[in-house]
Amino acid sequence: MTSPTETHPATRKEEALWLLETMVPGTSANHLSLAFRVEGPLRADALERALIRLTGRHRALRTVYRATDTELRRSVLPPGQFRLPVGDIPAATGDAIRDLEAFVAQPLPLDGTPPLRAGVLRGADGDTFCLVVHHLVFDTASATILRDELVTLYEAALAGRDLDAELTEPAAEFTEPEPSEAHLAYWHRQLAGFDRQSLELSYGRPDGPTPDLDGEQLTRDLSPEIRAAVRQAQKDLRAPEAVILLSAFALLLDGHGAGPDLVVGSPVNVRPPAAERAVGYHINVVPLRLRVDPTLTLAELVRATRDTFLDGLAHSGVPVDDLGDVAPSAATTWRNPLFRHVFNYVPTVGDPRFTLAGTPATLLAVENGCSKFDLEFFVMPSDEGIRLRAAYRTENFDATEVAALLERYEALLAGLLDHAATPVAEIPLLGPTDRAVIDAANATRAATDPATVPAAIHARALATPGATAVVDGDRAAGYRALWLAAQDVRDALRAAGLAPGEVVAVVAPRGVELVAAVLGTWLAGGVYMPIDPDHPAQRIAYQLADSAAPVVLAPPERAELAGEGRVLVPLRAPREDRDEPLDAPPTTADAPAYLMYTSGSTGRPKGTLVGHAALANLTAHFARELDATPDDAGLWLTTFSFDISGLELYVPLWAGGRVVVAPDAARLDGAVLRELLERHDVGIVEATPTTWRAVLDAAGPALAGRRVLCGGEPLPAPLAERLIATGCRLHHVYGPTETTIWSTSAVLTKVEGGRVPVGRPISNTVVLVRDEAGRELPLGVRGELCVAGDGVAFGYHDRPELTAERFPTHPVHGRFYRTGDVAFWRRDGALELLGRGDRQVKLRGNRIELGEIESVLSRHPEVKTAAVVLVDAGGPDAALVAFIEGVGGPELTDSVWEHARGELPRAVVPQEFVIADALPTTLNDKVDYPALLRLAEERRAAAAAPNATDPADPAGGDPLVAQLIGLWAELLERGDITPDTNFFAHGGHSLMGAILVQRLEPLTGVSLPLAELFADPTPRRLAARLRAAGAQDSAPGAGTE
Amino acid sequence: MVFRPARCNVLNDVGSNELILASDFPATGRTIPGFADLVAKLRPHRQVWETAPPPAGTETGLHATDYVDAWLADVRESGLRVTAVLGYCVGGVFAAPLAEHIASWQDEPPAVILFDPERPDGALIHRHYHELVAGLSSVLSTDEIQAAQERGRKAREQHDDLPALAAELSSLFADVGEVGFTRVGLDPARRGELVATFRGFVHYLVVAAEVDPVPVWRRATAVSSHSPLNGLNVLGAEERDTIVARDIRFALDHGDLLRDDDVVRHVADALDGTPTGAR
Repeated sequence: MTSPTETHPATRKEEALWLLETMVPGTSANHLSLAFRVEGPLRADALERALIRLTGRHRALRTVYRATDTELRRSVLPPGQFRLPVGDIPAATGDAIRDLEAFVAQPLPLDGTPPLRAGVLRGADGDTFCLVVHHLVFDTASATILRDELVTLYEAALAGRDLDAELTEPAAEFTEPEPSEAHLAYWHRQLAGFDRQSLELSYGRPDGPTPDLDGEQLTRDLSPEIRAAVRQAQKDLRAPEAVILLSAFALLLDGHGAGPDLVVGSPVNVRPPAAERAVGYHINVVPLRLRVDPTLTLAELVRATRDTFLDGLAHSGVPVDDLGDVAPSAATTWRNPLFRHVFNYVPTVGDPRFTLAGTPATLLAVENGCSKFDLEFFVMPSDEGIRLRAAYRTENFDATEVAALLERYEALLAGLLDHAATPVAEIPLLGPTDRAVIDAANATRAATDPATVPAAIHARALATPGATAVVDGDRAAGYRALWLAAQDVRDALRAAGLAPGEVVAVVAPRGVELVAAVLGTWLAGGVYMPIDPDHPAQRIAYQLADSAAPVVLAPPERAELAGEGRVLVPLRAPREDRDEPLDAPPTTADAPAYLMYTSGSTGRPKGTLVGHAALANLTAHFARELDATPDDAGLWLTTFSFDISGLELYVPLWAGGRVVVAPDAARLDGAVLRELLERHDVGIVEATPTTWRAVLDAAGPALAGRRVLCGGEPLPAPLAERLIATGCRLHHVYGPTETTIWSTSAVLTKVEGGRVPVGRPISNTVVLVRDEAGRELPLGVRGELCVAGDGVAFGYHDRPELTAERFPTHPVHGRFYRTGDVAFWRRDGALELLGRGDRQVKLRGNRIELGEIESVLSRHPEVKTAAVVLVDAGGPDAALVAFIEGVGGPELTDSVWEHARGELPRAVVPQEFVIADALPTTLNDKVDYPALLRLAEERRAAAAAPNATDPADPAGGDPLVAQLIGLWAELLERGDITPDTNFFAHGGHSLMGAILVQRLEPLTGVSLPLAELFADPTPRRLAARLRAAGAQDSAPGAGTE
Repeated sequence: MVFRPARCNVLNDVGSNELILASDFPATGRTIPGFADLVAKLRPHRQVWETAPPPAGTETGLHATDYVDAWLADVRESGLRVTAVLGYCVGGVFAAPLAEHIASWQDEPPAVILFDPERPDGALIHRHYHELVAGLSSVLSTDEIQAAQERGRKAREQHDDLPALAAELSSLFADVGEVGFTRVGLDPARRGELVATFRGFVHYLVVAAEVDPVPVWRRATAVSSHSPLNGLNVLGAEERDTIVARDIRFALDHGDLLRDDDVVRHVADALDGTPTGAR
């Protein structure tokens, strides 16, 4: 083989294919193939002869490429210069398609040899021919052309005819012209201001630590009905079929988290009519910018898509690789900067069957095992139906997820005709499987009887008056005694002037008096507001003022709580029994039961008003779920100002069992907890993950056989595993105060894949996962978890605007609460929570779920808990800081860091790891993120301090250093220069360095060789050199060395 | 009295009687981290020196052995025991004779750790020219840059002989430099310095080709980035598997290799002689 003489630089479009291979070495993503199976033997010699003629005939097949270290160059070999041997393809696996795929995946080096290879796979029932060609010289249309010509030439060769006498018309040739200025300008206008971050889906997975291009495909045939629906939509919406199908693809992507402003790649054959049968790489993937505005109707979206699509076709002469300056890539990445999803409309898929020398043959699709795009839809319509093939990167999706996408796409197409006038945001996205799974999970109807908690306790007091209701240290109170004490409280509240519906602040530790206070408030028609007596005075004062409670129930010594029109009513303990009837509570289910203050991560604490129906629903559900009986004891462990404490109190009383009051120490000291559990034979115990972590070592052995609830903050998988291992029955519960204590629950028996679901909705509860436009999301798509049903609170006290914002109304499910938590439905109908929506942050262009990072860090065997915060968010020094509470000391850092690097994409590996004995917690025993953020910021400030003790004078009073800092700042155009800033690591290069040393001469009187700047490239070190060389400080009074 | 080497930079001075010798060409105003950055993170309890090239302009006529002898003279004179020789890029080539000579006078040969080691060839020299010219966009027009790169390409095609190619590229660089550097107001001396820096660097690459480092590399540890055009990544799989004793690969860009914490940990382990991953 001779080497080509005349070489040319490759085009950008060609170069892009090569660059992909340099970034993902060894990939076969650019390998295309022509393969067909013949029901009989194939003759290699005849194929070889045919191929010699074909390569002679088609210039593209003689084009070779040579990749050097800096560029790709192209040249064309003269005809007849090479022979393409047709060897046997090894039948290595016994599976013909696999053997062919292996053949396709073998390297096609760009070393000046023709980037193609051919072979025959021999089989008992026929042979298969396979030609593998690099995309540089080939495309799908080329395959059809070659197949036709190969048939002619092969048949002629078999017949012994002269091949030069065949195909006498010259082969079409096409050299793509340079894109015109006008077309380039069109694309610049089209794509101006596009933010590629909007391409990220809330579905599937992001790239792993080392992305590859491994791909798979999935094919689905759509029904004739859908075929008909698309046809009808073409007429009704007056758009070509491709536009209808593309609009649905855009809707699908938008419904999975991309958009609303999105770019979809769409391959276009750019051959002009005269060169229709030219072999070569004549496909341009045009970047179609589609705006899926949620307020548009479907018909309007289709119209806009039609315009974009047709304009795009009219300007398809610009390869997307020539548009690099539209979206300059911040990082070297294999990904196209403009799109990640491709819509490939293939309207002319012919019959795969044909005849070769009288023998039946069939075209085969042999994949190269790769996908260059996250997702590519091949849409192949025919008269009978529409065939859909989805190619996807296996790193981003699994087969089930892609199958679900296809099903949803089908559902979207099926609904086109019904939704022509529907705004995009209201078009249902769910496929039949989604609908079935979600509806089943939300089928939660159950009776709540009695209708209120006080009615249930009153019934117990009448039925079992002497049974123990509350055990409080050495004291115990029976149901009747408790109710009588409540009546005393009621009478005192009435005497104090309490009117029905008014708020009563209850300031008391957990105990009999507190239970009497709560029941008494209800008996008086009031609404209780719990206040932890140990909370800071300021917080208590705020709550009292904000709630405008006219009465405080508190120990008599808390006289300071009265005033400003507030009356203090002392708490009551049960008295000796007396002959008095047990009055039925006046409470109705639609009345408010309590006002609960929560602090939230920002802003002032706000009060949530919860009704009796909601509380009764929660209590009835958990009495059932926990199998609570009159023989049961439940531990009252959580502070009463945290709403989950209500479950600990009301579930045992609802069931007629005992409430065992636990001291605060039991939340910190596992031995105390264990003693209580064993002494009182407690069956039900609830705590937050933070508390469980603190007590599990000592209390764990006592948990076997007990019902354990854990919730209130994310439950790390290892903690869940430890809890399960105790032999307890673990109920993982989730819910915000606004939907009454808990809204979902899962009984966990094992932890799979490091994920801990929060389970399914509790009784009379409907969960919706919605996107920003308010659409209900399908399985697996991450969105805001919203709760409707009986648990929904009345709203926020005295905050009508906030209430309206957070508690909208659903057309079917009525009022619901937007939790702000990010979650998705799993295929098994359970929900999985990803943390707070406001814990989704952006760092250097990456969308990051802090909760996800924590969950990965928590899987390290020695990490007890991990909390990640983003410091200097949005600033130039933004960084992730991970706080780790673990077994072992500071030496844990290295191993956690290594774990993080192995498991997380590079962009989200925390920059700093801080090992702490214990993480700070809020009053409700949750990790205190604001406190961690302050801590992280203080650490950064302290770390920065030694270099710049005085930010106003970073030079530390040295005028020469100050002068150099000024010069550094000017040349590097930066404001963050310190005495230790390395000139060359901060944007300087040798030319700039030469300018710098030249500028120094008049300033210092020293002519410094450039090499000295290379050796000492910081202001501090260069100042020392300059002084050594006799520099004069220009500032007066300086130069003391 | 503290010994100061004449031909090496001192990167770490902790008063130890053991030395780590790092081989590199630090005098280019390179923008990516070098051994100084690695040492700042590594904080070894040993002296660390880095080889320095002869002053720009004085390299004419020197051969690889002259470079190596000058550095070895420093080491011998110091009396320090060399525990490791490190090499970065083409510095890895010089690391081989350095380690070999040191082994001849020490009881124990030094460990050899190579970071993206590469043997120079025409492609490498051409790439440095090509990229350097590309970086002059602040003083040259796109057309001028492309023309200069085209001339570089021709030179590459014309010269199989490395010294000839180096001379040609140096002279091309002097030509474009004359135009561009004058535009930003650099005086002739400074212009000359920049050209001499390039010349000195290219000469360093050319003489490195006189050395066969492979026998020493075969017992060395390589630390590799994933940049396709750097270090061992340019080799075929078969050659790569046998050319070093151990190849630790990181999913890092070449430019990040000497500042990455993970790399630092592996180097620390390798220097201590304990297996990596043991903690």
